[in-house]
This record gives sequence, structure tokens and C-alpha cells, in this order.
Amino acid sequence: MTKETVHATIVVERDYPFSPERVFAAYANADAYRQWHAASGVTHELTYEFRAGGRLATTFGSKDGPKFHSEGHFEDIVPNERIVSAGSMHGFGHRSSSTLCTVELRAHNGGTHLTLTDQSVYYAGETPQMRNEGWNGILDTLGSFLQRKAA
Amino acid sequence: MTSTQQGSFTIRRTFDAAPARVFKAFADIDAKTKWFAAPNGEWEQLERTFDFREGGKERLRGRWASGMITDFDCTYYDIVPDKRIVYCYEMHQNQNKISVSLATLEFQAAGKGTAFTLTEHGAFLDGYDDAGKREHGTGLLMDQLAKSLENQS
Repeated sequence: MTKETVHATIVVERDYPFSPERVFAAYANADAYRQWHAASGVTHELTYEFRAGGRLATTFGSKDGPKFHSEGHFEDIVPNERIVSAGSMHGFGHRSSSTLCTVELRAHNGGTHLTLTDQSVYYAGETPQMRNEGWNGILDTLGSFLQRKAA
Repeated sequence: MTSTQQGSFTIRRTFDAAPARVFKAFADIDAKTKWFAAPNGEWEQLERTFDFREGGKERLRGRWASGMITDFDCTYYDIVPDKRIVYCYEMHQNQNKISVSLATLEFQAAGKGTAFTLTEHGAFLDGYDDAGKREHGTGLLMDQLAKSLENQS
């Protein structure tokens, strides 16, 4: 029996007091990305080919909690402006969602306005509410990472 | 400066054919070619691949009479036979990537027929297309799909 799917769009926005070039660099460099993308959790594995068509695969989770695996590709990259990626999440022993994610960067008030749009279909286990909390934690961690780099 | 417009739409149809037959119209290249195509004489096929499995890719690239080249570049994410198909596709026009979309197709038995739902999430890039136009174009394809199912019965 196939359960009903849930479709949802989540938009999360942040203002960072750093230039779009600096924010983009946190995405463009795998070593930088590794330091913030799992929020407070742990990155167990990361494949990060930062180019349109490149593979993006990561296994992550909380230190002692369940592991999640996300597998997808970068779809479109415009330096300092836009990163589009798509793929699926595996958690709870099965494929739990598929996602189209767009990150847009705009110079704003001497810093950067970041808009993340997550358009997803949820199969089972995951919910839009969990995803929303996840992105908020990740983008807060990105903010701390940028502060640390600037210090 | 780039621009991006996100949008979503849902198309619901009821087909007289059973879920297995409607599913086959997406899963089998011969059945799909009956409806997923441009009108004869207006379009020339340049490239076609069809690898219908999770992680597999589909490609349909062709040149219109106007000279414009369009390219449907698709990766299958999730397949549940006779129930569900999820895929991600890029659309290209000439040298431009105009959109990235995540499409979910759901097939539910309804009497002897099928209640069909298509849900698309799209990121439309740099103003070449938008969700309204894509919904219209996808609706026309669904009309062709319906016709292909009638012709087989």
C-alpha cells in the first residue's frame, strides 16, 4: 500500500552581514560546507561536486541519533547569486522525501539577503514541519560559521 | 542579474483505463511516445534516451520548425509500480536552462478507471518560462495522454 504523499513549499530567509561572495564561498567549498550543513549534527560522509550536474551526497545525523542520507545533484549554479539542487532523502529505513531546493543570494544593506526555497514531496516519516526546523537550524549554523570565519 | 520564480501546480484527471495501463503510458517508451511528442512536421527529434528505473535518465531533445532546440532532461527518483512516479527534469531552450522541476505522478484505482494526479514544483530561471505556462503545456500533454489511452482500448 502506498501512502498518500504530502507536497509542501518552505521558504526560509536570512540576512547575513557579509557579502554575497562570502556567503557563496561557504557553499562553493566542500570543506566550508562540511562545517555548517549538518547544523548541530555530524557529517559522516560527503560527496560534493560543486558544478551544474555534479553529485551531492551526504550522510549526516545527530551524534548518537539516526543517520540520514541525502543523494542528488546540483542543477544550476550562478556564482554569488543562485544554487539549485535536487535529490532525495533516505531516513527511517526508506526513501522519505524528494526535494527541489533553490538558494538565492542578493546584496542587501551592505550584506546578503538569502532566500532558500524548498519544494518537496514527502513519502513517509518526514514532515514539512521537520524540514522547516531543519533549514532554520542549518541557516543559523551558516550564520555562526560566517561570523567565525570573519573573526 | 539572475531571476528565479518558484511555482507549483496540480493537474487531476480521471481516465477510463486501469492504473496499470495509465502507469504503462509513462513506463514504456512505445506507449509514452504515443503522447509525449510534438505534432508531426513541426518538430525533428535529435536525441532520445529512456531508462525507466530509479536513478535512470530520460532525454528528449529536438528542433522545432522555428529552429528552436528544446531539451527535456529527466532523472527518475522514485517508482512504485502502478502507484507513483517521481522525477526531476530540466528544460532547456537552445543554450538556456529555463527551469528545474520536481514532478510527482500518482495513480489511484477509481472504479474500473484511474484517478490521476500530477503535482509539479518548479524553479523557473531568468524569465524564460513560468508556472502558468508550464501548467498549460502540461495540460495539453495530458490531453494527448488521454487520447492515447482511448485509442488503445
